[in-house]
Amino acid sequence: MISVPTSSRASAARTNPLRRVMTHTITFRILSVITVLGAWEYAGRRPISASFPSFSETFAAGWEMAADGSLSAALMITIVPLVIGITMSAIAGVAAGIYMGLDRRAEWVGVPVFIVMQAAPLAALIPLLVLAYGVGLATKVTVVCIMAVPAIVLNSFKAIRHAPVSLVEMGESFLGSREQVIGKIILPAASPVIFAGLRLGLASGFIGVILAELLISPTGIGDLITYHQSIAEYPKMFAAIAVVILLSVLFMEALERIEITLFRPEKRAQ
Amino acid sequence: MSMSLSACRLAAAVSVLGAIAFAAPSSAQQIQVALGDTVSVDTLAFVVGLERAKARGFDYKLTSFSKEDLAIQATINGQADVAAATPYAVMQKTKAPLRGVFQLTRLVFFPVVDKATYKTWKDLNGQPFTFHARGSGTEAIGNILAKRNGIQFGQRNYIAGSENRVVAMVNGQIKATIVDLANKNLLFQRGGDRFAVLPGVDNPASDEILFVRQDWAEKNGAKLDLLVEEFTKLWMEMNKNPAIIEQERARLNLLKDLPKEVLADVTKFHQQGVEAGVFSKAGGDLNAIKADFEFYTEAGQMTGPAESLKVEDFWNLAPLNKARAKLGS
Repeated sequence: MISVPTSSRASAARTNPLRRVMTHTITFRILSVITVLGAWEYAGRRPISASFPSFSETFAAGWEMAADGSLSAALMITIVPLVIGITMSAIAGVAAGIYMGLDRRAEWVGVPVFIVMQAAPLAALIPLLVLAYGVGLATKVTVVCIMAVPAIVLNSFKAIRHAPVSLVEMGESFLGSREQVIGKIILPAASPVIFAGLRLGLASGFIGVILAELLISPTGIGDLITYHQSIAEYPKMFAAIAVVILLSVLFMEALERIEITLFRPEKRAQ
Repeated sequence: MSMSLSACRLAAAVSVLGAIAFAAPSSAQQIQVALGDTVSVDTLAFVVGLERAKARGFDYKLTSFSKEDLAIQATINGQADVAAATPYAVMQKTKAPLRGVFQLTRLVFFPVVDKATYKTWKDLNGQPFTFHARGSGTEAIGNILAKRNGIQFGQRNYIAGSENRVVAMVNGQIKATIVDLANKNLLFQRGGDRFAVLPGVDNPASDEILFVRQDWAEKNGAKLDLLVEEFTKLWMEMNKNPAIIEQERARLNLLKDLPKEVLADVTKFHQQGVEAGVFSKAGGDLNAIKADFEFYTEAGQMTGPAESLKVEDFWNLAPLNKARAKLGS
């Protein structure tokens, strides 16, 4: 009996093109997307409800809105409070999280506030925000921030707090200054979880901006959703929702690429 | 091990029972009614109509939704049998088996302007105008009135809620909008003679209609006849004596949690509604339905032309005709 060494099997998999394609990450991702879209098409054709369109109808409606420019016009409106809110939340949130991670007193004061913010039912708070800031851009940016900041702050805080103690002690025993320990050991070790928090914050920011557009004043993608719902153009309504989801996924993917390029050299080859 | 297996079985049994309890209707005979609005003074007449029908055996459960669309979806998907909303667009575009049976309220709205800036419709040519939302009834009325007066609006702004548009008018942030009856009166109370009402539409379309699922109606003809008869009777009584709604509210102990100041205005609200034609006298007829077709096609909610739309695809007038014959109206 001849046993094939593991390394030989691995090299066989590498050299067999069909096997290489079938076991590639992208193949599994495409299969996952096809399964979901296939289920959507089936549910729409069955149909599970008279007002639930199939994927093909939704895609055609989305294409139509892209062609007549209504989709891009709506996206340009929605993106403004989102970008302002996410940028503010990312800068302030990461800074606050790092500070609370490094200083116990800041943690005691700050963490409960962000836990309450995370637990607060935002939809119920929107009327209060409207009273304070009116129905304009300021309220929508505030909603994005309220949604995004807790995830960013709390993840940044935990990332700093869980930096490997042995590495920190090693840095200190080599007489590294506090700045050197933070800059060369704690922050690099914390960056994966800080970025995970940023991705969660970004996803929450998308939810916030759509909530604001649906509940405060119908503009941008929120306007496309409510308008097409009110005239029973369900394929267009679902297309607008699908575009928001797609955009959110693309933004998160872009953020992951930035993280890998800038901070995770070990992952670049994967 | 056996403990954990038992626990798993127990959890599974509880889940299954929970799912069955959730899926099963609360009572086999109970009729599910969906209202696309909150239960308040505005919708009180509808609830009084239901309660009167209940006294004659129409056993119902009312679910109030925050938006009309949700009440319509609940009916399409079979979770509700009867509903109050405006389902024309959904009926036409999804071919959902729904039929209108009674016209509850009409879109009586008032175009109001700041007199210092605009005096007639012609002055509004190319000028900004504020509506409730894109594709809403207020925008549809505005489009129709603009077309009839040969003008085109400039910038279109949207502020949800007549009460919010009144605040914006009083504060001088907007100069022209459309508001409902109660808020038109509020605007004139607050703003004195600063504002004016411009001529509106003569034959307002339906705001909310009572509609049913066809399969439910086919199996429950007697219940539907009873319901429509009670609504016809109540609407006739209300048009003669608007105070009947407050009398019935007190008798049936409805809206008992509302403050006394709000309840004190119930009769006034219905009096003004009857005078302005909010509550239709007939409960709907061929002319009213054709006016709806014209309005909603012109508003872009239905695909026209209005003349090509068939009444029987949207309405079942048989119960209303029976009720009228019985009540002698």
